[in-house]
Formats: sequence, C-alpha cells, structure tokens
Amino acid sequence: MGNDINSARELRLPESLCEAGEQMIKGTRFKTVEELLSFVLQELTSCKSAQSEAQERKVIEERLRDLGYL
Amino acid sequence: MSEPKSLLLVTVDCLRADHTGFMGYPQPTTPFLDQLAAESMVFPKAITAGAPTYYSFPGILASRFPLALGREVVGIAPGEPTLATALQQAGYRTAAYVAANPYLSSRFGYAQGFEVFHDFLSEQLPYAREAPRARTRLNRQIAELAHKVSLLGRLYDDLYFQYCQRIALPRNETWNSLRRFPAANVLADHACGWLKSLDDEPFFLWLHFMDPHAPYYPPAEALKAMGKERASPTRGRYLNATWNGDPGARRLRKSRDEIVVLHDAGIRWVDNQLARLVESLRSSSRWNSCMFVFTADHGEEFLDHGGRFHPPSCAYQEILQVPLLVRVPGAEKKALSESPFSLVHLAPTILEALGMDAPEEFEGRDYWSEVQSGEGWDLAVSESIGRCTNPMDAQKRLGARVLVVQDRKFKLVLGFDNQQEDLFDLQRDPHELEPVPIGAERSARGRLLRAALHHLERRPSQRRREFAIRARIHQIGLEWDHSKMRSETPAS
Repeated sequence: MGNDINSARELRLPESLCEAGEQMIKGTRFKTVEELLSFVLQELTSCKSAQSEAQERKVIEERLRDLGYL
Repeated sequence: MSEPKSLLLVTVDCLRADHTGFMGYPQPTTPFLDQLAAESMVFPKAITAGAPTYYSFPGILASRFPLALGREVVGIAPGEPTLATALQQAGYRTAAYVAANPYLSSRFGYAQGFEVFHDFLSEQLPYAREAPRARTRLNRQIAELAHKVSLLGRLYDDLYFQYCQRIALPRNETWNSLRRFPAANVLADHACGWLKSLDDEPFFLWLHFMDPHAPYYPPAEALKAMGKERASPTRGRYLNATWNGDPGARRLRKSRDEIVVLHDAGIRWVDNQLARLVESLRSSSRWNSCMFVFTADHGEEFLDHGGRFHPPSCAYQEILQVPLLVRVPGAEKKALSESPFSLVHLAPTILEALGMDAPEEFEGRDYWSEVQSGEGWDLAVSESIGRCTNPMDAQKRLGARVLVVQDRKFKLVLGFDNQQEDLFDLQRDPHELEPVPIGAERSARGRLLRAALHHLERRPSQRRREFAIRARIHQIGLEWDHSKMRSETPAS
C-alpha cells in the first residue's frame, strides 16, 4: 500500500476529535493526526490473515483435485 | 420437563477427557462428578474448537471458531455476543471467577456480560522464593569452560540443576506456597459467597479452575484423597523443575508417572470443591432449577506422543478431546452419539435448554433437541496457529494454521506450515500411532478435505466483519500496552 500524499483524499473529522488526537500524539513519533490515522488504517487493512487463508484454501483444493474430487 | 432457571458452567484448564472417572479413568480423580454423571448427559467425544486456552474459549463462550475474526485477533471482540451477554440481557445475574489465567482476563474481552468478573490476576499469591537461577560470575565461567566439551557441559548443567533442586532450596516449603494459581477452594469460597448474596433471581455462574495446570502443585488434602500422601512439596518442586526443563527423554519418562499423580490430584481437588459448591446449592434449594455444565478448554500431554503441556501445534486427542457433562434437572438421561461434538455448539445448545434463542452471530448451532434423542451431530473442526505459543507476539499469531476435521471414525490433521496431512482411523488406531497410508481411504480423506475447505470458505457476515474491526482496534491498543511490558506471558 503506497503512502503517496499526491493521491491523498481529504477526510472530515470533528474538531474535538482532532484536538484529542493532537493531545494524544504529543511526544510520540506521530507528527500529525493524519499520520496516526494512516497507521491505524494500515494496521486494520493489512490482509496478512486473508492472504494465509487464501493459500491454505489453495492447498486443500489441490489435494481434492489430486484425489479427483474437484 | 420445565426449563431450568439458572446455569453453572465449570471449565477446567488442561483436563483431558480420559482423566475423568466418568470417561473411564481408573484413578479416583472425579468421584463426585462420577456420581453426578449417573443423572447427566455425558458426551462420549467432546472436541474443543482450538487449543490452548486463547484458541479454545472463543468457541466455548462466543460459539465462534478461534480464527474466524482473522488470526490477528485474540480473545472476544468488543461487543461480540457471548453466553454471558445473552443471559445478562435475559435478566440473569452473572458472575465469573477465573483462576488467574491471563488469557481469560478483561483485557481479552472475557468480562463482557458479567456483573462480577474476578480474575485473581492482581492478587498476591504466596509465591515461593525461587531456587537460585542467576549464576554467579564464577559459575558462568565454569559453565562456559565446561560447554566447550559437549558431554562435560551436559554433566555440569545436570550437577547445577541437582544443586538448585536438592541443596539450595528454600526451607519450609509447602504445596500452598509453591502454587502459582488460586486453588479450587478459593474460587468455590467466592462462588458460595456470591450465590448467598442473590435473591431468587436466575443466575449464570462461570468458574474456571487451574488446579491441573502446570506447574503441578496440588493441595496436600487432594494428594491424601488420592492415596498419595507420601508425596512431598520438595519432591514436587524437583519433579516440576525436571518436567519443565530439558533433561532428556530418559529422565522425562522417569518423572512422568509422578507428574501425572500431581496433575490428577489437581483434578481431584476441583471435584472435591464442586461437591461443596453443589451441596451449598442443594441446601439453598437452587440445585433443582440449575443446569450444570462441566467441560475443559483442552487437554494435556504426558509424553503420549513425546510432548508435554498443551502447545498449539499438538492436534492429538489428548489435547483436543475434553470431558463434557451436562446435567439438566428433569431431563431424561440418554446414551449419546459417539460422533464428535464440537464445543462451538455448546453455548447455543445451553441457551436452547434454558428456553432461549442463540444470538444470530453464533457459528455453532443449538443441539438441545438432538441431545434429548441422543444423536444428530457428526463432525468437529478444531484450529490453531501451530507456532503461536505467545499470542501477544504478532508475528507468531500470523503463522500457519493447524486444521483438524474429525468424524466418528476418521480424523484429518492438516498442518499448513509443513505440508502435514495425516489421516487417522480412530477406531482402529485410537492412540493415533500410525497415519493411514496416503493412498488409502480415499473416500474418507476426500470427505474430510471437503469439510476442511467448507470451513475455510465460510463467508463472514457483516456483523462478524464489524467485530473483526473492533477486535483489531482493541488489539492495536493491547499491543501498544504490551510493547511497554518486559515479561512474556506463558502459553496456557
């Protein structure tokens, strides 16, 4: 997943939430609330589990094919 | 038959089915439960949805396969319906007493639905002083020199172990001072106290006992009840240290029987305290309107296939098959089907017996009507991440799955880490000593492979996708917290 800011989209958040986010990241490695939200969304959308599941399904399908059941 | 009003759910950590009297164990581990079994439904083959604890309990309490929300998720998702939330919403008073298993804490979502949730994790137990572990500088230098010659290194390690266990011991050790978890009597005391505080309302009480979990330090009374009063705490410490170490196969085999005695005495203590708790329910006239369910999260290995404890990579029946005893007042006792009954069906089946519909998010289905006729289920699926011995480690959590599908006769074990595909004929080979040759039993293999594929092709509902998102947001928070912690939590 790229982080190209030139293809970024604007999101609207309540002012109070932005302020709370700014308070939260003080002293951390997140420079902006955008960075924090990007991190959270990246964590949530990384599909490591789904990739493994697809591979595991493929293994079973191949075995069923070997046995003539697919 | 009128529906029962209340529910007492008892789960025991590390209790394999074949270590209970009502499942045929010759040692006197469960005299009270054996008696109760005469008026209960006993499932001949109950199978956990995953092992260890962190892969088992989503199945027991939320009727959900452990990896259904993605392998990133550990525990119950925020807002996910469980047996407890369903009963609380139905007006039940709810309480849980959990004997200090860190994976069954509120951090992992298990407090949801309980007005009282006591996990004993913040309480000081009378831990023994550890035998000296840190080697002095001189010791380290000797060890380094000794290890330059492999046999000498082994001899040095052995002598050092013997010194720690036999000479440098703390004085006046007792079984109670060595124990790492609150014993069954502590939970039973709390449970009796809570029950006394209730009026005539329906209640749901969940107790999770850790007495048979390693390290095995049972109360002296339990050893006496087992006819093993000669076992001493000092010997117990030595055995546990040996069992937990790497002393070689010969010494492990030598310790095995004594270790099993200590583990069994832990089971006996749970049985003993359950008798006390049930007596208290009887004396307050609640027992006749109380459904009683007794099961375990997973079993325990005692070198059956060379292993110890209950690692997630182990898919043998000593880990997956658990006792399941269900007593419903007034229900006619039936001999139940020998087909595997997955614990993922337990929560909806309990709710049906209590006269309630299960939440639609539950993956299992209600089998209460079938239980009353003795059969109707035929297949059980279990899953875990084979290398995930510490679920707080994100990399370990994301490893390859071990998927097990079993029916009445056959069991297929798929290990995606190492291309394992073992088919066992459980009727001909109940101890799983030799897998069926790869070209044999094609039809059974095909049937179980199709069931495995079906399991992986389940499409998550919109609600479940929402729980997955909630759980992962919660998980990010947990990992942030955990990154500040230095110590590792042991697998359970």
